[in-house]
Amino acid sequence: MSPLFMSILLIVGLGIFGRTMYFKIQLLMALEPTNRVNHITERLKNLVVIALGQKRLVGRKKEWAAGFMHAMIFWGFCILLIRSLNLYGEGFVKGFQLPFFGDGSILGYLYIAVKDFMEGIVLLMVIYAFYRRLIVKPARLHNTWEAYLVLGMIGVLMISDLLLDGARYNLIALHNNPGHLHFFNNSSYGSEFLWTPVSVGAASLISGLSASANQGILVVMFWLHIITQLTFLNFLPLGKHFHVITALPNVFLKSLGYPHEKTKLLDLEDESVWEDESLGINHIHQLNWKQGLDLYTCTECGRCKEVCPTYTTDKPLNLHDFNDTLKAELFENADNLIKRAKLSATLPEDGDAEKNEEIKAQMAELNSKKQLIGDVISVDSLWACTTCRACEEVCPVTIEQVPRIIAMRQGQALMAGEYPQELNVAFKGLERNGNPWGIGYDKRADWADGLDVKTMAEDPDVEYLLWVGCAGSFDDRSKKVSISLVKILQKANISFAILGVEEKCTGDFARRAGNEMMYQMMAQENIETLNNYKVKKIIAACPHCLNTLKHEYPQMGGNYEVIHHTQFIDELMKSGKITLDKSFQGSLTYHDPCYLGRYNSVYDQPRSILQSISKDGLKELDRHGRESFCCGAGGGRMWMEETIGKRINVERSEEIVGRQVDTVAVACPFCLTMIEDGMKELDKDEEVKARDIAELVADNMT
Amino acid sequence: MAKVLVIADIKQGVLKGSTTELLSKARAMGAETAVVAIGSNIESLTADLAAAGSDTQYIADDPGLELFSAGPYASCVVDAAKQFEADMIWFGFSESGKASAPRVAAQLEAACATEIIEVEMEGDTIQVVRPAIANKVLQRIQVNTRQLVAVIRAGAFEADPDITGTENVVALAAPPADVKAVIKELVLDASGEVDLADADIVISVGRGAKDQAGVDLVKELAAELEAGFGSSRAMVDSGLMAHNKQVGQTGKIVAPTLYMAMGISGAIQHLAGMSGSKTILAVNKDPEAPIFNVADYGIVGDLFEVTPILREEIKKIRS
Amino acid sequence: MKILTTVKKVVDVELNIHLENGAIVEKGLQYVINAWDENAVEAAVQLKENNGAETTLVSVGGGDNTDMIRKCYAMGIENGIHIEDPALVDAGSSVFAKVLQKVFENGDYDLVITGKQAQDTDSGQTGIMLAEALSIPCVSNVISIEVIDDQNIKVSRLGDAGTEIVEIELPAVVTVSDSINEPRLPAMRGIMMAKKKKIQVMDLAALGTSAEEVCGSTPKSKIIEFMASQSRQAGQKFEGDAAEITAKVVDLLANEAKVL
Repeated sequence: MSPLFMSILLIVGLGIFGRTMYFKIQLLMALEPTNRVNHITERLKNLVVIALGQKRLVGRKKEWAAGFMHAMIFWGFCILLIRSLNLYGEGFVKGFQLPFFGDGSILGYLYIAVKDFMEGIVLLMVIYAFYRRLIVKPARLHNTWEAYLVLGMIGVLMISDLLLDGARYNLIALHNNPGHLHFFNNSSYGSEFLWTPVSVGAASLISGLSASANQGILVVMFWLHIITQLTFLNFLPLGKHFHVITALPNVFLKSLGYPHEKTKLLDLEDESVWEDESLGINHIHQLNWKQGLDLYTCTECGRCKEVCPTYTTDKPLNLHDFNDTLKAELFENADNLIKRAKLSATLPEDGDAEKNEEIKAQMAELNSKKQLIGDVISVDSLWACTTCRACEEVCPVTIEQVPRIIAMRQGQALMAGEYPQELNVAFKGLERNGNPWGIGYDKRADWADGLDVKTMAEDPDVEYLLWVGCAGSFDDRSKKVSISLVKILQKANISFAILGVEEKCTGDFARRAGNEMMYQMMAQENIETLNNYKVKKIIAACPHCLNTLKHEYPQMGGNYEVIHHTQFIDELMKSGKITLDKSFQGSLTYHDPCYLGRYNSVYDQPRSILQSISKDGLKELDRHGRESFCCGAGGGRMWMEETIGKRINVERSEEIVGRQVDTVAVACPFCLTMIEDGMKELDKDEEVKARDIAELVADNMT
Repeated sequence: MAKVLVIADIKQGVLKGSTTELLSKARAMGAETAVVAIGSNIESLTADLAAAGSDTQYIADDPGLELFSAGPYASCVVDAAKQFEADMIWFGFSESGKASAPRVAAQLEAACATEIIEVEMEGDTIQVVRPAIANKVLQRIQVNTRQLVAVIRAGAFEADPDITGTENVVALAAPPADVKAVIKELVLDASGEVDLADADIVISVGRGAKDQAGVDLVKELAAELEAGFGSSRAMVDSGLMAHNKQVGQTGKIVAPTLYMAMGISGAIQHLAGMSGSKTILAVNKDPEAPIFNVADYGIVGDLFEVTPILREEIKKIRS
Repeated sequence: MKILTTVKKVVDVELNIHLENGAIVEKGLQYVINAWDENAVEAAVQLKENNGAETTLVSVGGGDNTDMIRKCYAMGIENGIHIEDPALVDAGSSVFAKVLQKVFENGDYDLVITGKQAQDTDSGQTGIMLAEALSIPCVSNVISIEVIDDQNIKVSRLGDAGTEIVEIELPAVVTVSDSINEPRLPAMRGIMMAKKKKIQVMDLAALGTSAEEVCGSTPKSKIIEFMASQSRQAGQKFEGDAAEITAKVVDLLANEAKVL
């Protein structure tokens, strides 16, 4: 078309884009390091399934239509990339064709057919998107001008390309191709226009115009398309559409730790962390580059808000805002962060203390003037989180909210000494007597009196250790579950023992509340006890214990095979060691605990157990399985007061009551307490009973 | 025969029941009894002091003694003890007693024992029994000094209804005021309320009452029965009940004839405050509540439902 | 202002206490700071933070008190003294008071803050006896402390008739109720720094006294036996129709227990 004009456009467009990207990347590099270049195969798989495959959009039953819409737009874009390259080529050389995609091969023809079809689909999807934002107005969407502008630009891109091809068709087919325009016309495959019905349809819209009009349209649409595309490209890094560029890398580089990045084991003895204030995240510069990339990538889709138990009960934690305000803080401090990183590179290697201090002082000058927790993120927001991971489960671009929140809590708890004071009682109890209620440690095994249960001290050679947990040992309601569990294990003749008074709290809630010191203390003591007894297999009665023992104790030298009691009971059933009858009366539903489901992917075994005891099967709650709704006790919140908004457990209890069942099965002592309390508050505790699966099984064993 | 000096428990011009309880025990042990009464405008109480079971009344009556001050208080007691040549000096359970007893003991170089629930003579030696380690154990203590200063636990001794005494007043000189610790103000507990420490019946309200409406409901019952109105820690912490109403290990220790625990679960700290009661009635929705482990009579039910019925039934039975 | 706080190590009252032959079984017991003394430490630290007071703690007896004292350092106490001596093994309130008297006289303290009683004995005598020995004022069961100036403080005390507001001329002893404050959980930074702080350990000789001087020839009283406490037993529990069971219970209260 016009090599000069094209060159200018490309140089300017790509130049500006390159510069923007350079600064964005430089900013990320100024953040803390983290190693993500590993396990390439697994990463590629994630990329293909989640990013390219749009799994969390089309693979999610809820809002499948919206998911499909986005997937189509995304795939359309991917496919149109090749077309774009071709157009750039045409700007320089008339009749430019890409290798393999020219009219010599069937691939070329197939491509133009798919491209043609997708342009039509994308245009329809854009119209659907406008419809959703303007008419349907889903609560989770932010209807900003940016959203409309981008949709508009995508629309323009589709329309301009279709009209471009339409005009070409008209000139070639109707006006005898006065400009000798190139088009596919292969002897075997025929004319290109046989393969592109949509473009031909577009052509008919302007077929009534003269040849010169069509020629004019051709030229205008060509340059409109190129310019819109380059403008679009440069617009992307400025807002939420940056995800168009960063989503694929973000998914590729996501943490592979299960269920998400493990909380870093902080070295509390290291003096320098006090000077640098680097325990946890206290300043924006302490985010690592992947967390920075997360901020770039948030698409502001709001799915996290929809599933978040705190947001839906009117608490200030709004994950979209969380991402947004952190991103704003990051950008506001971008120059300083980059300067700071440069200074950091000049820190003396030789241990020159004076120079060290001088540089560190200069670095400190460049810190953000705002308090990260307090000014940027509110204190209430930070502590409202129950760490349920629903947000991480639905995020289409795999942003990891929870580890960030825990790291910020660490900063607060350890460095500032600021955390909800209600936790003090629980921490003190942990320290003194190994349980958050502070009940004498010597009473930990009282629940097992008269049940003929061995302690490890009496017989360390048993096959399984039954880890009872604090609730199962001290809480009156949960003790009943422990007793049922023992009944089942004894019926199946399992060789097991409990630690009894030697068992201490695993420290789970202390860790979630940012108190690494308390957590490490409990972990160290427990691991020592477990290793002394050479424990190999553990059955955990509580999903929080399960999670900590299985995924976190290895960090400190505790490596055991841990399963939850529902998994174990399922095994017992399947191997015939226990048999169940279907004598359970009434209607039944199951509430998936966050730490059993989303943290440990155990969804099927509890259900298979429940199906085996209930003639009428199981009614599922609306929010079940991977999208189960939290009971509200996780993240240390069990020990805190809930003063803002509606109570989470009441919200969940209402959902259960609405399902019209008389029993809700649970598999976690926190859920058991919270749901029972919720029912009491709704005055439905006579109508709907919460029972642990172990209790139901014990009642229905033959 | 031993000589026991009892410090009279006077509150707002009224002689309280613990004085009689202590004197009854002293008499039962065969001791010669005397009381020391300290305050202002208390001459009129002489007859009561004698009727409570004392044969001598040491009275320190002075305007300067109207408000409690440990120094002068202790001086009066030491004065009376020396004049009476007391072998044992007993205080009833009160903050004044707890604050003064150690001073008296130090001045007399006598042994001092608090929270006493039993006093026994083993030949010529005095032995006392007291709880320790949050009431988990009892200690038997042998007194090696000639004199013993003791603070007796609430409800430890029983009052002898037929006890009598003789009027024999000895005036004590007013001691100098303590210029170093001066009471500037006394913020009275709400007057007109039945004193928890003294009442025959005490009714306490706990978390089962939920809110102000529940508290008021139980308060009405207490008012009707002219009972002391107390509280568990939870209700004080939540702001629904005043500080001074808390019955428990860190609050008031009471030992009434009848204690009603309404909507109280029965945590150990609360039990420590009322387990000395003669009869305990508990009302709680939860049949597993620990309070039922110590209650003589337990009603499993919602206090909102039970309280009005209790009022009715008690009214009926009393008429 | 210089403040002296006393802390006592006591058995953790959360645990079950087992008796054998009239003595307490030591096995399995753990020892912690007396809860009321924790309140005293917190009160002292608050006076340091608000009024610039200098704080010292003293612990008498108890064996290895390092952990307990470090925890108080982490809360904010600046200096620590531990008096340990074989003669103090069976010490009671009056012996503690004499030892504390020596400690007080060795420094120049303005205010002594102690917990109102110890969780193992519930005696509540030591603070008052110390004041008597030093001939300085003592106010017990205090729920708030306010500094007027270098020589005077104002406290609120829970008395029998109500709350007493008392002005005290220093030096003085104040014993505190648990209602005075909520002891802080030491911040991590405090705990790390406390690890490096020294504790001044002295026996009676180093303190400038002797076993004869503080303990006397015979103790004033002696514990000769520990016995199980009489616990109440569960009585009758009624479930069912509220009207019916309430009527029944009232009847029993009147005619069986005879308390109405």
